[in-house]
Amino acid sequence: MMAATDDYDEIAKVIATYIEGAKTGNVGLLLHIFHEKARSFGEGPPPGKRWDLDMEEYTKMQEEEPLNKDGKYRARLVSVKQMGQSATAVVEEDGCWGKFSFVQIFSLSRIDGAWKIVNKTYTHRGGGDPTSIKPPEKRPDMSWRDHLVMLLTFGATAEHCLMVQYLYAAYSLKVESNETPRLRKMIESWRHNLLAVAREEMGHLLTVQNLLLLLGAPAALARDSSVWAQNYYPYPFSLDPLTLDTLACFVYAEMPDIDPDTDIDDAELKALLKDVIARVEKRLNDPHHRLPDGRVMLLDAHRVGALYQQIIDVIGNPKLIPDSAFDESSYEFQASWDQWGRGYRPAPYRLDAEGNKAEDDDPDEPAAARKIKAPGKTRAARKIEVGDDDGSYVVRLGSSQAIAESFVRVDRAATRTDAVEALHRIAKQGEAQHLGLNKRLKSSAESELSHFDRFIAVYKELKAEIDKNAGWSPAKGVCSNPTTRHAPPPLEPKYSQLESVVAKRLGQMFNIRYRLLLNYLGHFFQLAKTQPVDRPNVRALLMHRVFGEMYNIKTLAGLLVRTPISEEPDSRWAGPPFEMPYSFTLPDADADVWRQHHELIGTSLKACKKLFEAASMPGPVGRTVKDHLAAATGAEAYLLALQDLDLQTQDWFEAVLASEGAKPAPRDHRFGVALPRQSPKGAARS
Amino acid sequence: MTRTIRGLRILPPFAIARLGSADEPMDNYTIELDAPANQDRPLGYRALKPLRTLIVGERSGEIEDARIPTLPLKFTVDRKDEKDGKNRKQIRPVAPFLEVFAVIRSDKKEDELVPLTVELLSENGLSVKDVSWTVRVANRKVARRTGDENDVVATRGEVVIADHDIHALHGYCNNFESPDSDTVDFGQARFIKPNAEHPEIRLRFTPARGLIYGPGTKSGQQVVGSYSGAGGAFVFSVDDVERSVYGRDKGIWIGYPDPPAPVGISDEAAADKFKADWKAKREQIWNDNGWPTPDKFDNETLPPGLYAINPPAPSWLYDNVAISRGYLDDACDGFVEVRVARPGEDPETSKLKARARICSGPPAMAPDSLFVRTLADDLDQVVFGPDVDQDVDPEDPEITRTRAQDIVRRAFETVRFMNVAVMNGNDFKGRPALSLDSMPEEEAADTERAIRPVMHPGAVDTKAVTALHQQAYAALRAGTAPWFVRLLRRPDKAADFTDHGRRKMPALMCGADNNYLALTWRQIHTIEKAATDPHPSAAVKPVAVSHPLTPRNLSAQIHHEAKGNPISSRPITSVANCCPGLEVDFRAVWRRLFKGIELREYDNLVVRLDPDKTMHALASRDGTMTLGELQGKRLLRVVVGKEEYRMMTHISGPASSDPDGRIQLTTDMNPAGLAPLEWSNALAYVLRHAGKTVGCDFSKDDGWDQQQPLIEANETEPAKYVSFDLEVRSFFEDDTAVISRALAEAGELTQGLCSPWQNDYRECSCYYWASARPDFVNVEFDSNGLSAGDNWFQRTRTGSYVPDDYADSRLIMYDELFRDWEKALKFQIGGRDAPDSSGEVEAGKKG
Repeated sequence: MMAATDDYDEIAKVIATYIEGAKTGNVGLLLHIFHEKARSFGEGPPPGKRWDLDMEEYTKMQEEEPLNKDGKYRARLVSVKQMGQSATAVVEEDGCWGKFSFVQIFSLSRIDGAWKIVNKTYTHRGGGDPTSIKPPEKRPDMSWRDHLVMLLTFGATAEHCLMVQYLYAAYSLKVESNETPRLRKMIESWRHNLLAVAREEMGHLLTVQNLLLLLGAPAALARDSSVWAQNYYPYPFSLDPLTLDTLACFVYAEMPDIDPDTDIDDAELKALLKDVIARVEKRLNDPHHRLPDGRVMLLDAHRVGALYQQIIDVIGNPKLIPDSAFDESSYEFQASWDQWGRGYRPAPYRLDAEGNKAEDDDPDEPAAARKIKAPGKTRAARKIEVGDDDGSYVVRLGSSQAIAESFVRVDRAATRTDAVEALHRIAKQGEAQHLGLNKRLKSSAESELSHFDRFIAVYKELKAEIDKNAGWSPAKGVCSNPTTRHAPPPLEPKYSQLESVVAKRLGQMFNIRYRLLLNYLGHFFQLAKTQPVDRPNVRALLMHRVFGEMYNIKTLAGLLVRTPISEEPDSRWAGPPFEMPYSFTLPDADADVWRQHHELIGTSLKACKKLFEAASMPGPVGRTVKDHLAAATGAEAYLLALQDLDLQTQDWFEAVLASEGAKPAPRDHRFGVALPRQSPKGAARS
Repeated sequence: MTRTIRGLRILPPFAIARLGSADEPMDNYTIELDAPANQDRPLGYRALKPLRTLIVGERSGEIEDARIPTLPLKFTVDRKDEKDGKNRKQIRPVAPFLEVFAVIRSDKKEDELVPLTVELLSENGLSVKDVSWTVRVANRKVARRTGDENDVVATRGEVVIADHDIHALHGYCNNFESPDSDTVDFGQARFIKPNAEHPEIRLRFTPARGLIYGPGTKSGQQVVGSYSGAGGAFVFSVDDVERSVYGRDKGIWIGYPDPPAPVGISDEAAADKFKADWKAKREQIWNDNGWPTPDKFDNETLPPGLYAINPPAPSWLYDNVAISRGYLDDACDGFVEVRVARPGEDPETSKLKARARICSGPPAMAPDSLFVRTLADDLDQVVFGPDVDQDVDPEDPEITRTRAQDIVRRAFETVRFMNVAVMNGNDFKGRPALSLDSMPEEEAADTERAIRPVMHPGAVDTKAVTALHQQAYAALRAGTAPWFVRLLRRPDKAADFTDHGRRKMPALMCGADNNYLALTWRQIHTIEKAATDPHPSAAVKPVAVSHPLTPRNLSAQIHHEAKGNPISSRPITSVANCCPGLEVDFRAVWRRLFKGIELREYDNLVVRLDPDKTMHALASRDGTMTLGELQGKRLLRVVVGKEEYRMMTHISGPASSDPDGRIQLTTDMNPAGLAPLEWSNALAYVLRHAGKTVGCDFSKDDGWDQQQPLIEANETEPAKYVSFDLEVRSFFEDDTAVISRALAEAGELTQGLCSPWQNDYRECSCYYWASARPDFVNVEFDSNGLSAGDNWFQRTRTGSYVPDDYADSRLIMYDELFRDWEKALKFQIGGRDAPDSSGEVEAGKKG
């Protein structure tokens, strides 16, 4: 029987210290946590060679050969078991000395109140590039295709989580009239950059859905909070306004695989990244930012990158995934940039008569303007060399305002090669540049900005502003992790309950619109292969609805961050909750899916009506609601317009349902406004 | 306190009359957003709101009554036709009032603008009898094509009005059969007699009935024709022309642009001589009028044609043969002037005078919708400039947001009248998109490239696209900053035919330069500013931004709402993407912006020189050319200090070899691959230098039929352009909001429009002016959840859209319009056919 791990935190700290000490060859740290009489036992490498060492031998070896000397060391605390004063812990290690993998099994004992490692045994799992595990591991009760779909699902989940956190941070920024014009411009450019990255993450999410479709798998649109999925997140999920700590997490999640101490000479960049890592470490140890099971997540930014590498390794291996697993016919039904890109890509470059990229991209541009804009001067490019040529990166540390628009990639795939290339593109754009880069992709990486470029530019500027004015914040009292839930059961301290009437109702409407967005998106993929692509079809119209809901999300978020979270004086501002419904699974029958959309719209109308009713209540309650609505400037006008749109949308759903011979649930005309039905053809609408 | 009259103004300075044959003018009305009845449907159509309507007694000439009509507004009346006894639908004309305002100085330090009343006249020792008016209007549509001043139809000099009687405005023409008696009825003007309830000084202009005039039948053979494939069912012979006035043996309009068939001449040699004589006559006419010889250029309009032709029509379906029937219409534009002269003073020399412009055009057929870019937007850009600079001209964020919202609102009011799938260049039920009219089809023809849909063909549904626009509008109502600035098309990139360029907004519509439509610079900068302003501190309401009416506030004067004038008399209801336009061809005002030269209204060709020959001696900066040699050259660029403004842009399109690349699109006709830019935006920044000289770079070579590139000097070759310093004219007349007479004489603002205008309604599709010339009406969801409705031009309303290939017999054709346009064109209220005057909807006839 497994006892409760009461001392989990302490044991995990010991293991974290081991990892740090072994990684850097810091003997002091190792001696602090190992008992003086502890020993290390194990075999290989090479196979057959025993390495049974006492502490003196062991620490000498670690000092001379730190595990991270090649910069590729990774470690994961896999399990901790405690039985009273004894415990075991298992750690998986990769990239030791560049290429070796081990599983470490620690025995610990609590001695004089402190946990100590009394013994260590290890198994050598193999050598080779840690980013290319041979072979990829899977559970025995799953097929490789199933395992691949699972990994892609986790990938989609990770993209979704990152996107939502970036959006929250962006929405928390408020450009107010009492800021100086300089600061207003700066805040606006920060928001622009956060939204640009969020948009690109959306592109990644769609690309992954396309790969799932290619494999004949269902869409993955939920945010998975299971332990399995959390293992792949760079840091525990949390919706926080933009602060240096939040932004440090964003930088961390997107940074290249580099060690600032050893890989970076540029003093400014080194200092910034060390500051980032320190903040992230501190945050991970904060009780509010533990994993759902209470564990402290260890510092490892590259889980998403490693996940994508696993996916590439599996999908790229014909022995694991045969050609027959790919449904080429799905290609024309996959989401395309043509439909979803909304123009978010660089403008086409001019070709000269020979078909080469012309030197002069805009012959209409006045010569004087061309002289001012000399290439390369708008962004300071700093090259960081790590290992061999494939491991070099270009980091641009310039002004956030000089950064260009986003490049939303929505790649389709008809073949295995397409799929691998699409995954490499995702990795290159922001997650994991430490992967071996396709030569052709690498050349465009020189000009394309990565998420890291954007975030580090914002971080630098935000830090400078806060260094000047410690009390200043661009997010101005916006709460973290807002929720529409209320006790019981008691809410964890990290959540902020939306208590005021307006915040609660707007929060509910936000959740509904979020759900509608994902439902429409899921329905879009569910309708693949059922609709023509060369003419207007309801599937494409669902795509428009997705974008419409994005506008609603943006708008409601803007209203929420201007709404007091409670009726208390000086209360914080609310925020968009992004809460997940109980399920994103759509019904099997298409008519039922339309009915569900119809019903959700009705629920939103109901929430809106309740808000209006609350505002018209006599007495202090109504006054307070009105005041809060007024604080969210434009709320009333927007809600009236949204109501109008929702009624039109219900008309649409009813038309579609009628075509399928199905009827929606009757509209409750007590909610929203009862409208006259469409008049007969030719008559003027009254 | 005496109020001394220091000057006069007529407001509005530009009034639009709308044609119609009913005797009773249209009631006064406006259109409202957020009307109480619409509060719960803020995204619906604007509410028509009746306003106080001034009823002028026919005999008395006074305003005898002022009442607010009841809903529904009646845009038409029924009248029994005297000839056949049948009921005919007549459209009520919009007859605007023009009010006189006085500039006075009172106790306040600033001048004020106040209505000129009997009392104010009296305070200044004047009376109503000292007030007189003149009206001069013209129709130059024929002259624009033929180049013959003898084809100008105009009032004989200025019609003087010193009493309160109705004064008919007759248009005379030297090339009419009987120049002294044959006339075109341009409508009437009346000096309204002030009375106790309405003591203000005002004039009313009532437009004509929308009739068509044509060649006389007194001599020569009649011209008849029929539409091929239609079994001769739509013959419209000249006998049906109610006004047969144009001299058959005069001018060159009949048969233009080629000699007419030598009727009655069997001898071949004689026939050849007939044709040669005709050509010689044209050459002489052009020479007399300062045009170059016809072998150099043909003085075509853009689009070409734009006049009633002998069947079959349209010309592009029949080898581009466009032989003019010799038709003209009764639309016009010109000036009204008021003078107040003391007893014994000559009104001509009176200092108390003011002027305004008037024009008459077709009715506003969708009165509850506004176009995304109107004449009001262009005039605002002239008044305020193209920039919305917070440092130079601070504007409250709430006001900027209001204006940005208004643009987005008008965008969805426009798109909901478009069949977006067809306008996108989609095939229609298997029929190739090339056979249907759309911007992608135009683009394909002009660039000699394959047609490509603009947006993804699956995503273009009218209701869905409208809803998305409405969603964006709803977000703006909440104070959300516009996020779509990068999606707006830059006016100088209107010829970017890559998908990156074509998908910019506004999409799928034509601009004044025949490229894809762009907003004005000012509209774009408004949205840009709204995107970066701080969050508004008060709710942003979509109300009209009002400005105080003062002598200096030109915008307030332009937008002035004279008592009794419906909103359709104001520039806000006139389209601005004039290619050629509906109410006015606004391109015409820019032709003579630079003193000494006249440019073509739609591109940078110098077509004529200033009649003042002393200017022709002006030398270029390098002394190699004189102004007199500029005819036929191209204006390439205007340079002011470090600012430079190009008048053309390169046409670019997708590269077939590289999906991320673009190439310059050239053709044999356009080897330089250049497209002219529309004047309103191209010259927007030049206007602020009015009264000063600016550098103008012209091509060294002639460019009569081809664009000329701007080639700078290099190491081995000198620059291929020549620079002149030319003075920029003022846009408005001094201290007024009246478009300068030097820029456009009477008749010139409408001369580029179709002759007759009814022809334009048939020939120009909705991608020009969707909310003024609708396409997709009675739109609902069909059984597949997609948009379904009627083509505005289909005779029978079936709910199944008939795409326009210009040959489909289910659609109204030219001669039906010529014969009875008032019956054929249906007003649209709430996006649906309005009931006719009996309150019933005209029953559809199954074809």
